Amino acid sequence: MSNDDVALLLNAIGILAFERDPEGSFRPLAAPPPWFGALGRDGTFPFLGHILEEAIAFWTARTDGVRSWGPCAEVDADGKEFHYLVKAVTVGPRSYLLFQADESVEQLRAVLQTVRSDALKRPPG
Amino acid sequence: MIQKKICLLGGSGVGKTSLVSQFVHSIFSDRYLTTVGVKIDKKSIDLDAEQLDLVIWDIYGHDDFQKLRVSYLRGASGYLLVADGTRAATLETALEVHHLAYEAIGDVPFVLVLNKADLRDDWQIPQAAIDDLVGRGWRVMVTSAKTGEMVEAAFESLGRSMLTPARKNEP
Repeated sequence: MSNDDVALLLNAIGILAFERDPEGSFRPLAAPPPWFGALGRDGTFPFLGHILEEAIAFWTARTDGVRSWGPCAEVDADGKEFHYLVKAVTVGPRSYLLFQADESVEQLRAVLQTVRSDALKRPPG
Repeated sequence: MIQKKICLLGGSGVGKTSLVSQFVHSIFSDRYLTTVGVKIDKKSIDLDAEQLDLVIWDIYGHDDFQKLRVSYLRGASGYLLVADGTRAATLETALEVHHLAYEAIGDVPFVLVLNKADLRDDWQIPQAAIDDLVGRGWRVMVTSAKTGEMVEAAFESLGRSMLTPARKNEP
């Protein structure tokens, strides 16, 4: 699979991936998927700022694996809420930062909505 | 201009998201929609000629189904601890969450918010419990995210606490 194929695939499944070089700079592996444009519209990105310190510690440890943060909710230009995850990945000598749209949240929310709504209706005791 | 991260903490269904929605967007919806993960909003307020930019982290409710992930609190300068005045058990949850927050980020300012003041006829949190907390130095405010009553005041009270020297708030 070529790099172009990988880029197309990542975009199609809603993932924006960056490779982190040893100096700490990030290089995008593909064009950002459409949902990513809703993030940081005001020039700030507090969720990334929050996790970056932990992510850097994870990459610096150089242990293969994935560390995940989120879901974090944002609102797109149409006012629709969506969720995403941020992941740090270490594979051998390479480090990656991924932003992934998290559509599974709606299933989780449906379950939590049901159990919590039931709990709210229950008389105290 | 000063920027501070604050968090809304408490049990599920107490109105954390509604408080943020009322404070930031002046919107209230009667439809309960549970929060999954975190939502981050921003609002600037003027306090005594000082502009305070609040970065507001609305964190999912702590309950039997999802426990608070305290790493979300890192960097917070204060928090609103929210309970539902019509459900006494949510005050116990708020106290539990306060312990977790204290262990995670130490003695930062907070305000205990008893929400749903528009349902005062159904109020269940005993006044004695509130008096006890006030006696321990806690700041307690009664709000209604539905009507907007005291919502801005609660955020401003927290803002003022964050701009003044720390005081002891041990659990």
